[in-house]
Amino acid sequence: MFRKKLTELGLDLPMLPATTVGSFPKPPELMAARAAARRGHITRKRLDSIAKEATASWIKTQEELGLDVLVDGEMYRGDMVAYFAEHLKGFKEGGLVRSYGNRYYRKPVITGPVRWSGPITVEWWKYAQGLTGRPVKGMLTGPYTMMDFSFNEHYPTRRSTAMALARELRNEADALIRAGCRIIQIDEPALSVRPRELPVAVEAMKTVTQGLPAYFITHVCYGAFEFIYPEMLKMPVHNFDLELSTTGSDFLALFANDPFTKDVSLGVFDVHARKTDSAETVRRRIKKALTVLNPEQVWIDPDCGLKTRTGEEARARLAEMMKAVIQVRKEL
Amino acid sequence: MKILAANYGSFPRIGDFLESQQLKVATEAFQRGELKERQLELAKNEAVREVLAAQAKAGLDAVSDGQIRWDDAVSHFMGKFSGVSIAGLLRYYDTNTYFRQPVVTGAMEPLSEFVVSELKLARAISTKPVIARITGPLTLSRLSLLRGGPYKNADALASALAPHLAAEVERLASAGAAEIVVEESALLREPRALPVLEDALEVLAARRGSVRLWLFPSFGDASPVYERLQKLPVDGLILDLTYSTAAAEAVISSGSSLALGLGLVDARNTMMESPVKLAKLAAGLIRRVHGQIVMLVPSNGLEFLPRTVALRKLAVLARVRDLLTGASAGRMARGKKRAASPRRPRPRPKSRRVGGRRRARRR
Repeated sequence: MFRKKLTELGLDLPMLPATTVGSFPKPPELMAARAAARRGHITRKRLDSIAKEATASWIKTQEELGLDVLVDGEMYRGDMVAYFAEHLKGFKEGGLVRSYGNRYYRKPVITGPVRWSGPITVEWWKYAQGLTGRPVKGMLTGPYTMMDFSFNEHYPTRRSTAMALARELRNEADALIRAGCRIIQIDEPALSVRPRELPVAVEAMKTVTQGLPAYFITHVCYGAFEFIYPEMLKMPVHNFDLELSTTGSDFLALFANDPFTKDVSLGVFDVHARKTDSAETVRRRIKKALTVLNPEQVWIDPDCGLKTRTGEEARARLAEMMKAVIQVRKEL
Repeated sequence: MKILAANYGSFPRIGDFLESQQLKVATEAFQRGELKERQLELAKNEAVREVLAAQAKAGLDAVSDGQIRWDDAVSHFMGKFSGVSIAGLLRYYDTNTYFRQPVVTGAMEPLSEFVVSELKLARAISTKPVIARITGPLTLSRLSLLRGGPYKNADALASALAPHLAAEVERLASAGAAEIVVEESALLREPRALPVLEDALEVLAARRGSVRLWLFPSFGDASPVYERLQKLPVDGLILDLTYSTAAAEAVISSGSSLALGLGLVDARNTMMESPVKLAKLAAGLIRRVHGQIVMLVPSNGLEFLPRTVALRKLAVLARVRDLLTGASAGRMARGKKRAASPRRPRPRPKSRRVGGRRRARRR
C-alpha cells in the first residue's frame, strides 16, 4: 500500500519485509553494568560502552538472521515510557508499580510543563545505523501512551497532556529524520485503552508525524481492538504493527469485514509464550493473514519486544520466523 | 448510618525500598530454583500480613488481603476450572497491567475454591474486618475466548459461571467475610449486558447469607446506567467517582436505595486529594443514600499506585471519615434541637425482594 512511499525514501525492501518490534534481551554483563551504574559503581561512559557492545552484537545477529529492517535493540533503555520521561523536562521518577507477575516499573510522574531539551535517541540510532547497510528504525514512545502510562500532577486533562507531549516528541522525530532516519516506529500500546479517546490519540499522532518525510509505523499490542477498529485506521501512520498470534486470529475477522487500508506488521509469535513456535506454525499464521491482506501491505515481526526472553530464545524464535518468511515468499 | 473507610481490592505488594521488597526477592529466588514452593508461600503470607497491618495503620475500618496471590483478576478465577487453558497476555482495560486470557475449550468444572483460603488467612491475621472480592461472571466471560465447550456465546458462559461463583460467595460468607465485592469491569463497556448480569447476580445473591453483596462496575463512569444499577439484586454499589463528575451527580439527582461505596480517592493517579474537599463531596452524596452503610473507598484497586502513595491515599480516606463522622455528630446534635418542630420526613426506600428475601431484614 505504501510501497511507493518506501521507494520515495530510497528504501528497496523485499516482499514481506521482516523486522522486530524494538527491544532485545540485555546480556548479563549489561544488566550487571546497569545495576552498578545505578549504585554509582561505574561511570555513565563505561555503561554506554557496554551498551554499545551489546547493540553491535544484536545488529550483527539481526543481519545473520536475515532481517530486512533492523532495530538498535534498546540496550540503553529500560522501560519504554520511563526512558523518555527521564530525558524530557517536566517529569520526575515515580515509585514502583507492578505490570505483571513479578515485574515492576517506575511509573513516571508529570509535575510540570513537558519540554524536549535535545535529542534523546538520535545518537543511539546513528551508532546502530553506522554498523549496518540495512535500514534501522528510529524508536519512539507515542504521546498518548506517554500520557496514559504516566501519573499526571500538572495538566488539567488527559487531552492537554497528550497534546503537550506530542508537540515535544515531534522534535525528536524531526531530529531522527535530520540524522538520516527514514523509518520511525512510534509505539502506542495504550491506543485501545479508552476507545472514546481514540480521537485524542489520532490528533496527538498527527501532531508528531504531519509533514515529516519518513515512513511511520505505530506498534500497538495486547489491546481490545474490536472497540476501535476500523476507526483506528485514522491514525496518521503508514504501518500498524499488531500482534496476531494470541487474539490476532479474531483480528483477521475484523479485516475481512472492513479491509485494512494501511500496511501492517504482523506479530506472528507470542514473545511471552514459554515455547518456540515452529516455522510451520508461523507460516500457517502468515498464510491465514494473507487470506484477508494483500502481500504488498504485509511486514512480518514478533508480537512485541523480545526483552523478556533470553538471548538464545530470541535468536531461536526469530530463526523460525525467518524460515517461515522465506517459505511464504517462495509461495507467493 | 455507618460510615467506614475501607479498601476492597488490591494493594501494592512491594514498596520502593529493598526492605519492603521481600516478596519480589523471594519470587525471583523461587524462579531461579533457589527457594522451595513452601518458602515462597510463607513469603506471600508475610506480604499479606504486611499489607493488612499497613491498611490498619492508615486508619481503615475494613481491609482487604491486597490480592497478593493474584496474577490478575481473570486467570486467578478462570485458571481454577477444568476445560480452560490460560493463554497470552492482554492489556487489562485502561491500565498498564495485563491479564492472561483464558481459553475455554470444554465443559468447565471448578478444580478448587477461588479465594476463600486467602480470606481465611487474612482473617486469621487481621485486626480489622476483611472484605472479600471476586471477579464477576460477566467480566470473566467477556475476557475469555470461547474455543469449545457447551457454551454457545459469552452470555451463556456468564450464566454457567454464576453458580460456581455463587458457591464461592457462600463459602466466603461462611468464612466470615465482612463484605463481598463483585467487581464487573466489563459492564460499563457493554451496558447492554445488564440483563445477563442481573440474572447472574440473582444466583450469587441467593447464596450470600447475611453478608452484604456489593457490585463494583469498574473502569468507567457509571452514570449512564446508574438508575438501572440501583435495581440490581445487590446490597451495595461501589462507584468510581474519579472518571468524571457525572457519577456523583447521578447519586445526588437520583439518590441511592443501596448502600454505597464512594470511590473518592483516585487509585490511578498520584495527585493527592484534599480531605476537606472530599468530605464536602461525600457529605452531599451521603445525604442521598438510604442504605445503612457508606464505605469511603479508593476508586479502584490500589495496586496501580506506588505503595507510599497508596498509603497516603488511605490516610486521606480515614481523614474524610473522621471529618464526616464529626459532622454527623454535629448534625445529630442539631437534629435533637429541632426535634420539637415539624420536620419533613426522610423518604424511605421501597423494600424489594432480593434472592427471595426482603432486603430490609438482611442486617
